[in-house]
Amino acid sequence: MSQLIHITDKKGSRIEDKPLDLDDVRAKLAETNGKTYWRSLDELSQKPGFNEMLRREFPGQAPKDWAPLPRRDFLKLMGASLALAGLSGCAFQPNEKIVPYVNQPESIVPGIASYYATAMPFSGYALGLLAKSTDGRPVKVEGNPDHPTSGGETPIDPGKGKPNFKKRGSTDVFAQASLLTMYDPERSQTIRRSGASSNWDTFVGEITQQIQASRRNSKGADFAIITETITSPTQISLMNDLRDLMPELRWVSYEPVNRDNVTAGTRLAFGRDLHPVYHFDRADVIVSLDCDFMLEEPGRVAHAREFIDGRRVTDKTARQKMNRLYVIESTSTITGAAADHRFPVKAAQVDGIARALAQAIGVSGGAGAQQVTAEQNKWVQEIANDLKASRGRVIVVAGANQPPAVHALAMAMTEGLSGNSNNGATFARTLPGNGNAATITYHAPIEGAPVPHLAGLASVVDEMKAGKIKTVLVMGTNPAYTAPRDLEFAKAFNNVPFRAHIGLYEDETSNLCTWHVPEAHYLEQWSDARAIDGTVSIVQPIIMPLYEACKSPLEVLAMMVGNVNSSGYDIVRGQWARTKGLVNDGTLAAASVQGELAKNSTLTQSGASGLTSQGVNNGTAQGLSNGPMTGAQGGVAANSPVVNNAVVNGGVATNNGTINGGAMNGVTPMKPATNGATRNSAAAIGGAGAGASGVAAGTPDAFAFDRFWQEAVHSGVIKGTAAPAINVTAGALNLPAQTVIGPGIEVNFRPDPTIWDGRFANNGWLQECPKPITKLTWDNAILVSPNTAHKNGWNNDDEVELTLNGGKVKGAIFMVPGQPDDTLTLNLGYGRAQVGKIGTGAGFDANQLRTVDNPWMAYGVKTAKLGTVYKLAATAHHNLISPEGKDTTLKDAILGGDDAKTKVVDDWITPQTRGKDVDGVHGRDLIRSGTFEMMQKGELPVVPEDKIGLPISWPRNPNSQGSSLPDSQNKPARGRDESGPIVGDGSLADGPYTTEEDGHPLADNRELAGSPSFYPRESDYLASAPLRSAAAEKELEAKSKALGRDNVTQQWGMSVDLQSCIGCNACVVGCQSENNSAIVGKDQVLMGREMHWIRIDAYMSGSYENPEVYFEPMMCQHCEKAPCAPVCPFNAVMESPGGINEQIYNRCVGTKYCENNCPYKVRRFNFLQYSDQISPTIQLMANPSVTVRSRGVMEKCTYCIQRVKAAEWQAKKEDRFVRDGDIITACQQVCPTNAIVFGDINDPNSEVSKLKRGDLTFGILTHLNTGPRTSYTAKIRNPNPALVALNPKLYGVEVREGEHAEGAEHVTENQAFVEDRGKPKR
Amino acid sequence: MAAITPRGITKRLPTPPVDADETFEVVGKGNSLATVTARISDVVLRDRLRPGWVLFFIFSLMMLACLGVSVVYLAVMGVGIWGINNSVAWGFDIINFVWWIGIGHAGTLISAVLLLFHQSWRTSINRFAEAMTIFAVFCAGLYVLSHLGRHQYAYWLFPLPNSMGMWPNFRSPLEWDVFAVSTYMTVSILFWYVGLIPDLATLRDRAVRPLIKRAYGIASLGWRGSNQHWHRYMAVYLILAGISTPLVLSVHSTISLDFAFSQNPGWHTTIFPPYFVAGALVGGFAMVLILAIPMRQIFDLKDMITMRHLENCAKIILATAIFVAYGYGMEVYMAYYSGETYERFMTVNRFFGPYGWSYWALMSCNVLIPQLFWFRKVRTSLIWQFAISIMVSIGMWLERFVIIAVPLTRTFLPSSWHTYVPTGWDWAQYVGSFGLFLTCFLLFCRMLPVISMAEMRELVHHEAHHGHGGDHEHEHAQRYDMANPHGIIAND
Repeated sequence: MSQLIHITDKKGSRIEDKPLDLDDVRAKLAETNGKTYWRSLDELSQKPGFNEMLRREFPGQAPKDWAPLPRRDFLKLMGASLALAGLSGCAFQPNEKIVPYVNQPESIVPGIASYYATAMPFSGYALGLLAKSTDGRPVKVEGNPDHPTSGGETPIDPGKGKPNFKKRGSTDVFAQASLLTMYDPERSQTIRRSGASSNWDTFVGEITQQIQASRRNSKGADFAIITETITSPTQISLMNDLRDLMPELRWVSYEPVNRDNVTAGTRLAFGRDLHPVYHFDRADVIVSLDCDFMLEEPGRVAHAREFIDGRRVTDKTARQKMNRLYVIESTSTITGAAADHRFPVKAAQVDGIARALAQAIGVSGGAGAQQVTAEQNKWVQEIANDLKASRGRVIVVAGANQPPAVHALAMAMTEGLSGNSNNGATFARTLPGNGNAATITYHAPIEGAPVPHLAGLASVVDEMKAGKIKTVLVMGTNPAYTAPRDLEFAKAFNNVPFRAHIGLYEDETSNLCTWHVPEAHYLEQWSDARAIDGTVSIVQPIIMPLYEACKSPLEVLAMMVGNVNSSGYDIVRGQWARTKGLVNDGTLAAASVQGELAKNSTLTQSGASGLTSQGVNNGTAQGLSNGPMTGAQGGVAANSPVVNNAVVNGGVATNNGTINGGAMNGVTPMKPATNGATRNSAAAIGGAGAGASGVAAGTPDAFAFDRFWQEAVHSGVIKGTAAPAINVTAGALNLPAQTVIGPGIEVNFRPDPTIWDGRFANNGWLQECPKPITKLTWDNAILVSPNTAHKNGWNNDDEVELTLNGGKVKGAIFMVPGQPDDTLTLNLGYGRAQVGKIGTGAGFDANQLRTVDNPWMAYGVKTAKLGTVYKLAATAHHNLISPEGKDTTLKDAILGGDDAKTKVVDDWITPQTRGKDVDGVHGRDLIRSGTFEMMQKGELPVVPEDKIGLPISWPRNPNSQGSSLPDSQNKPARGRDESGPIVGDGSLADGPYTTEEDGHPLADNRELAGSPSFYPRESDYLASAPLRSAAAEKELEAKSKALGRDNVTQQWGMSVDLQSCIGCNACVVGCQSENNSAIVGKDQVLMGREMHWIRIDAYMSGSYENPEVYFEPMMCQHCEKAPCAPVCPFNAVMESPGGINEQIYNRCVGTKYCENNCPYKVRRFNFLQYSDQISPTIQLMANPSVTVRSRGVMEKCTYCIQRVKAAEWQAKKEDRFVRDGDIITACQQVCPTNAIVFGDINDPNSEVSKLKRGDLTFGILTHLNTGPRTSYTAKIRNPNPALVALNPKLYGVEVREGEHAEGAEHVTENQAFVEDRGKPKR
Repeated sequence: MAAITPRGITKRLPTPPVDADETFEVVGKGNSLATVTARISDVVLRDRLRPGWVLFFIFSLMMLACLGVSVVYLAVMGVGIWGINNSVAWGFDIINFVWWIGIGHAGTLISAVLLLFHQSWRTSINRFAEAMTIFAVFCAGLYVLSHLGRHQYAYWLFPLPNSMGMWPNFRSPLEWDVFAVSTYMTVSILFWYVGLIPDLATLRDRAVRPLIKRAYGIASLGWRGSNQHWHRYMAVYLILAGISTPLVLSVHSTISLDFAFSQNPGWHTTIFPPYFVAGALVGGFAMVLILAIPMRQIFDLKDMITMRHLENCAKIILATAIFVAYGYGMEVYMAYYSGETYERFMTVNRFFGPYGWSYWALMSCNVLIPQLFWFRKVRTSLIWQFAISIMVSIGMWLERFVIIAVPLTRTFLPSSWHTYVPTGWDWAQYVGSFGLFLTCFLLFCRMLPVISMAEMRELVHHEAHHGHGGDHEHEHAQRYDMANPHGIIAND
């Protein structure tokens, strides 16, 4: 052993390094029997420390966790780990079978990605995913088309021109970003005991000891487990096994954003815990009572898809019906933005409005609504009328932040209106048959511990305070941060002698714990989870845990029930083997039985104390090897279904009174059940599913289970496991007192739209993802209406201290149009004390103001302006926020702030937007919208003209494919000869503009329709194939003709439907994941340097109090005459033969001229070295098909050229055209509402062509003759005419529509402006 | 003078007494052929360091150090250290580039255009104005190179044959810039150097220390002052003047196309080429005054760079300021007349938007303040001239700010509107570029004759023999001088 190597023991003291003593060696040699081999004299002499040295990889430089690390050693180690990280990055495939590899290893081609079905549990509920794995590492997740949430069927509307959207999986922003969490270099990597690194064996020893002690002393009454929401059948089963060991075990789920109120609502309405599932595609009228069902509900992806399917209009002839959404909400959400009528009210007011609405409909319990103004009553009546008119096809849905009474009312209203018969007074009704046609179906609860989260936690905390709890295990959740302040969780927690935490991060809770075990990410673990409708997905790992120490919750629980070293795979597979009754697979059965046996053996045998880790291993080994152990003692009996009545409905039922506070504390959730229900409703569902599944349960078929497993893992869903609908009967509502609207300012708590409850706080993609309405990044803020801010003398970025119920936070003000006056909305999830570099310190911790009584809304807040400024980083600037109606003066131009000055300019140039254009398009033709009524009358949102008669924007005509030039060929010139290119009144409904004709002209200015250009498209030059032989050219032409194509070449284009875009941001993060886009950090966002290739512009119009919000996804428009291309001195911007505007990174030297000249401002420059090229895990994450850009290079959307090229090459190999749907861009793929469509615009039958040739298509800034390949379809709203007539002033924009309805000439906003401006000057 | 010996004249030669007071003559009374040569060359060869020069030099070295730091930091970190962003992608880099290159124009105008127009008063200011041009182009070039994202590949801008088969994009105005600026720099340096040759020979002859003598000897390219030399010299000089003259117009026109070529409101306008050239002249002449006024004080050259020169510069500033004002007016009118929302918005945004202050400051500096030059008293007051020149320089800088940065803050899509705030590094490099400019200029003052000796002798001769003659006589005198170079005794 080298004298330079110093080996230390775990306490950091040096192990004596004696010089080699030959006598010792001789002595050792003398001791040996027979032949002895040794590698060195050191080994032979067995010097102290020698084995330790062997054990370590770098003996001299081993990380001395337990000793301070000298700086030089640290640097050396850094170097070594960086160098070796690359090597170790190659072998991450899990050991167990994951399906494609096992069956077809020969299909694995390095560099070619494979897809594995898995599922992401989020707040317990699964979103089915297909994870893309390249060379063994997941690089992207996509939705699983077979999964009920992420996939789902899009009903095909037979209407003419309606694109037939293919079934494909979509996802949400969280699933897209979850990939980064897995690769987060700051994820917890080692098992820690009191901060020092430790190992699994020691943990197992200690926790086993705790279990022993707990069983002995209190049957588990002093043992508490706090989990997240759990729907995993396997995990629930393990929890039940654990309860068999410890019948009194305290198990609560706690998440700060939970569904307590929903469940309590079902109890009020139906007398039992139920799980409602919404089917928005079955509804014509939807009323949301403060429910952001497209972002905040677990079924968000399915909800968005179904909702938009019910209202997609792309063509005036397409659809005779469109759903209508009323949103009554307490803050600006994306659901509110999608609404046809949005009513901002205080959260506490929703209860009263719900009652009034119920009364108007005729549902009992609605009577006596208080604090509803006459004004409100008017529109409530109109909504009620509309609801009644659509009887049977309505949904009233309440938000999770609303008290149970509102939920109960919402459900009662939906139920009351679900039948054809209307007898007002009694709405009680049983759902017909299996409830398929119902807009809301009810199911047995899916959650594993259906106790109210908050009350459950509160009761456990009480017990902790009382010192009754000796051991607490926190799994996945982070109550030390998320628990309401008045629970004093940390204080109670510290009372517990043994505290363990299993989680992805070392966080606030793990800081308080003795033990921390890193949790495996869902992409690293075997598990299962239920979707919102109950369908089970197997969570399949795509990669071995990046860090060896990571354990899945299943493995931890299995260990606790005795299966110390069972793998997640065996656990899940064993569970399903048991569920299916297919124990005939020899190994499996043995494994599971062994598990049971081992559990008993370990626990009984080691009853003494002082089990070391060694001891556990021995114990287990013995248990397994000494087999018999008389398992009859109950190991197997644990499976018998009725052993454990742990889940309590009765206990909770006492809880009905809690509406806005009440006595949630009084619940002791872990009491034995009083109602003797089956021990777990979810398990019961599983059982039901098993019966329904195609696998013959119980048949002695040795391969049946293998087949089942193969299919389940392969397709990502287990068929037939969806929860069956339950027939429910609503009794008379016995509602608690109405929520009282307190005096003063109301404070609302909502989950954050990107980082949720803080679990994604260290996820840079989500931190930098602009929040849908506010466009804030990296912070939460005190969201407040402009009026309230004005009244209190607050401005954006002003720091204000909020004091509520003894809690104090300091946050920055951010004004949001559409926020109800006198309310503050605080998003959860920020102000994390410990999570990592990304998440620590951003924003403020709203949990500090939450209390057990008022977890969602509270009154009595004291505000104090601190006079300091905290810079908030928003990616779009809300320039014009000031109280409505205030005209600007010269003083504003001189002394005003930037916003006031911009408004001065606006008032001068576009006076027609005064008081209407909150933060809008400033009189520019960037958004087109209309109403369904107009569509039905054949009036389309048209293009206004300016005073000299030129359209403000092209293309202006319904046939966007037509050339502007008089056509010398035999095609009729559409309307031009009669009236020139301009139709005076802008009406496109009649006259010569029709869409009936078939033969679209060949490639003449497709996107430039009407553009006064004499030149053919650039792509036509490029496409004139000089590389092909004449014969091949002819053959291609013939083929193309046979297919009815416009042109031989495939030209790529995109259509974005503003109607369908809900602003959910999934595309933003999906693009970031696909294209390796960097995050830049808050300071860079403040400077305006975010790197997203796609952004969602949000424009608002109408009043400040209640604007209409328009989302407009904006990515590179791939102009045919791209302004960026000619200005690049290095030729780094080129147009591909397919019409894609390509940025060639290698050539780019970074003059930034292209960025300046891009009218859409979609180019993104690497001002600094943004992409992380150092962290090894981040490098593993990168999509290998896309270059990681370095500093000084311009980048932008490429239409996912890697996907385009892959499809083109495939088509070339197969000698065919690329089929429609072969290319799905990343943004298109994730979009839950099919708002983005990509394809060949030369194929008249492609989805994108149909959309582009539809009536509603328009281009942005086409008057610049840029010829964008991306076009948009107009946004159509479906306002209730009765409501518009009721109070036209309330609906800024609709005023004119009202006039129109009375016969006035219809004008759009822009047209009105042009006329206003044009007339006097002419 | 022919008998200057290397020995014993380390001290300054007694200069013949001249009347060095302010004068409106082109050259002060009492100056002879000998005195102009002696006084101008002594600044280089025999002067001690003058405190004013030392002071300025220390100051400019400090600024140069600032440049060093900021450029090194820039190379290490990237252009992200500046305040530019994805909406306003050009900031101080291009503003200062255009500003510096504009300053150069006055030098070329004085030396080339005025030569062709036989404006004999240009004689005493052309040399340093040309030097100013060259150093300003250096500074501009520095910005061209440093504004790139990947500085190491700046050479790709040149059409160099390479294995990648890459060729610059000749459609890009930035590529035009490359040729415009490099041509301009080449021609300016040549013109300047050719003009220097007879003076370098004079310095060679008057230098005492052998190394210095040798250095000037090499630099003067073997000039002996023969008739044939003069003949060819004059021909080349005139030809270069002829080449330079269109450059005065073309360079800034080309640079203006960087903006006119694009489609941004506020950039996309046809008035830019003449408007930029006029602006360049205003800024350039202001810089001439800013440099000339301290210089003539420090080096006692009041009778050579006389009030007449300064007044003429002031008049040109006044005239070009009026051109520029016309440009401003037309810009506003065209925005109105176009009927384009975007153009109109941009224009009103310039007036009253968040950067409205810069527009009004620009109007004051470039349009209002130069009108003071209508008054003779102001025009002939050193303090006023200096102050107004400073204001005009600021104004011209603001003009570029208003043209380049302000429209980018409010382009087509309101969602992408952003502000532009320069960072400390922006300022550091700007200050540093002054350091480069001043250091070069101060070294030039000490190493080369700031006034053309040869031309001054000619002028003195002409003034002495012909007084203020007509053009015909003047021409005659010039030819006479050429043929009979008794003004250059030193060349023996």
